Amino acid sequence: MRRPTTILATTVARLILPFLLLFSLDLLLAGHNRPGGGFIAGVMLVAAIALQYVVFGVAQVRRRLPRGSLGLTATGLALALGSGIPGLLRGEGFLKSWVIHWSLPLLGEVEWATAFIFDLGIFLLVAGVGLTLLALIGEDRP
Amino acid sequence: MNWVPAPILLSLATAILCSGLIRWRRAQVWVSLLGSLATTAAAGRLLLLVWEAGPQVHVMGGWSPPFGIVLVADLLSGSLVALASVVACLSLLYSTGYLEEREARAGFHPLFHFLLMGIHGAFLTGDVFNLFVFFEVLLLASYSLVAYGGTGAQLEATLKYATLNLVGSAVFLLAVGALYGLAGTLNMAHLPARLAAAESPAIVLAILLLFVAVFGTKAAAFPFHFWLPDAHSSAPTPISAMLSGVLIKVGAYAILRLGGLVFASVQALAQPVLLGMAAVTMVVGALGALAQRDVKRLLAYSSISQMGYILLGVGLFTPGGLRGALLLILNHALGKALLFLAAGHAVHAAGTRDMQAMGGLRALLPGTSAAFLVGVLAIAGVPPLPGFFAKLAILQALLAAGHPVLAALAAAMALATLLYLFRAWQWIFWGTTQKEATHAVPIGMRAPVAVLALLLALVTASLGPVSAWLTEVAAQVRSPEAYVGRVLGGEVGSPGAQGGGPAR
Amino acid sequence: MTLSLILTIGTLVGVGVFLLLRRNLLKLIIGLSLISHAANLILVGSGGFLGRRPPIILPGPLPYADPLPQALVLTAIVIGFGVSAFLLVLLYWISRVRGGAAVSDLMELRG
Repeated sequence: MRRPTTILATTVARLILPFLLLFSLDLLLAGHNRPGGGFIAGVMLVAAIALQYVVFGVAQVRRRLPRGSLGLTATGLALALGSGIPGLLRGEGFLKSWVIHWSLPLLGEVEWATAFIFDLGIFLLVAGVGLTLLALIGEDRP
Repeated sequence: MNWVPAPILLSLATAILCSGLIRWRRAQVWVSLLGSLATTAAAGRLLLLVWEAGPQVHVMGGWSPPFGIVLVADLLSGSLVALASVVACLSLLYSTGYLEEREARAGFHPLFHFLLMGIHGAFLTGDVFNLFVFFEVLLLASYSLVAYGGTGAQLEATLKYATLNLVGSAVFLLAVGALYGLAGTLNMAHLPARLAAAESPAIVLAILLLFVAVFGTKAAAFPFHFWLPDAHSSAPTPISAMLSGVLIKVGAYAILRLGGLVFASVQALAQPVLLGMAAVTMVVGALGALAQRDVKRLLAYSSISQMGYILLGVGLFTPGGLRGALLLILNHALGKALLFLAAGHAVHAAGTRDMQAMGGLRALLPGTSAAFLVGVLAIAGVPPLPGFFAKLAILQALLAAGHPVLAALAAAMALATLLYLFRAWQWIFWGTTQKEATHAVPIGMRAPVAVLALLLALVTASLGPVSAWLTEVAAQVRSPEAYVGRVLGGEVGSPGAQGGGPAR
Repeated sequence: MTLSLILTIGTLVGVGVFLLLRRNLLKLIIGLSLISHAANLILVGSGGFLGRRPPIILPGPLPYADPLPQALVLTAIVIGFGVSAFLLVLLYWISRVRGGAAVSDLMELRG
């Protein structure tokens, strides 16, 4: 068994987790016109989970996390690649993106760029790679 | 539909599919093989298009050339993409036989296709920073593949390889930064005019020398060569064939592309450095190979020596020298891949890599023995094979450019090559059987070797057309107006003047 | 601004090279990533510090920050992240196979 962590650390880690996850989501959605984006959102997600690893130990976190982070990586890459294909097929260049204006019932006029699909792919990719890394070398102390 | 990004995207798509299918090994192998066939087909289609219609340009994301990233296929990059995908196909086929024997672990096929994507990208990109990105893609994939078996020697080799190339990457970034600070653009077609107009050619030369150091590291040129024997000999055999056959040529390609296109204004000033590096590389590689008893290390040192020859031709930059270098790239890609794969048979059968402990394998592996001999003749440069004409062209170009000492050295090293390769063949396949060989070589490992030997024979038989083709490639490398014109659409110099370029 | 950047780059490279020359592999990796950070800073500096305005074309005085080096550095940082992650995994394996993480544990390949 690992050494017990202080109650301060466990409480803070537990409290801060939802905020970190929300922040990660915000970074992902903000990405197009403001600072943020898929990569940094993915890193934030992994950092949030790494904090849980540090505080609660590998075994306990792994019990709660779904398996298959490598599948996440493949899905992310596929999304990122797929987002570039329409531009290629329409002859306007690989990864060409378009801005679409939608009017949603509650939010009003919303600007949405197709580049978001790419960002989402990168988010999943980074999260998958990060979680795989944690699983690979988070195990024990050499 | 634009064909330029097709080889890159197909490799990436195959890599993704393979990592998705990671639990279903048989399906993964089939997808991987079919994907590499599709990539080869796309590369062939692209090359045909370039031949018929001149350099092809693809504008990424709809951002027009001096600002956005372009992919460009001219005869040089098109030919190299096609060559790389053929060697990749055969290495992959070989790996199906090689890995099943050794408990294939998941992750090989995705990594292999990421490597291929990086190689194709590095050949096709028209942007210096994008070249850095694709270099990192192929390097990261190759680090993982060298370390693939996870044995101590492999991990150690990977650490050396990665450390040296990481310092190289930092220098690459430094050079890119300096280049951007000086010229305000990183587009390969847009740079030559900006650099030719630079106030002091000394700074441009310094940046070119930084790039030569960086790509010299990738191409295993003299002061930066010492990672290669470890990495290429420790890697799994199909990966060794890929690394020696294709990967180090990416470095030579980058030197050729940057020297011939981007830094054309100071290219002549850097020539003594490049020629000196190339000559020492040639000698060091040959001497190292003479001292080896481990067959894979011998072949790795021989790769260093052959890179020296290629860089000699590249450094001369005369039509004859370039044609020789290009022919040698073709010859070495096929011949060295053949030698590594055939040596893999011998290692597989004898269970050791020490050549003096093998002996007498001719009886057990007659086909391998013949194919190995073809590879030996090609790399050593024995007359009917293309290696001879390549080295002859380089020798003549050296004499014509007034470098008799270098020419004598090159001739002497050609003899040394003949000596160590023949000795290796003799040690492995002739003499008395020292070890009772038990392992049979699976068909998946035999077929690629046969195909490579046939390809070499084909190139030998059609040397005239091949030589004419390479002359055309060399001519296009020496006069890149078509390349620049296609990328910038005719208006050289005007775009970007008001943009983000730093005002100095 | 430029002077502080130069000093920072110099310090990073100096410390990085010092760490590269240590006999501990973890320090080697830290040194490598410091050097690559120095290279990133050089890239930032290559854009020059012409102004603090964001690179959005609006009427007004011209000097604005050059966006391209920042995009390049962002890419380089992401690549550096991937490479550091790989190196750490590699080091972990080495220490498991060899039972140590010193340079002297790696003496298998010679000649």
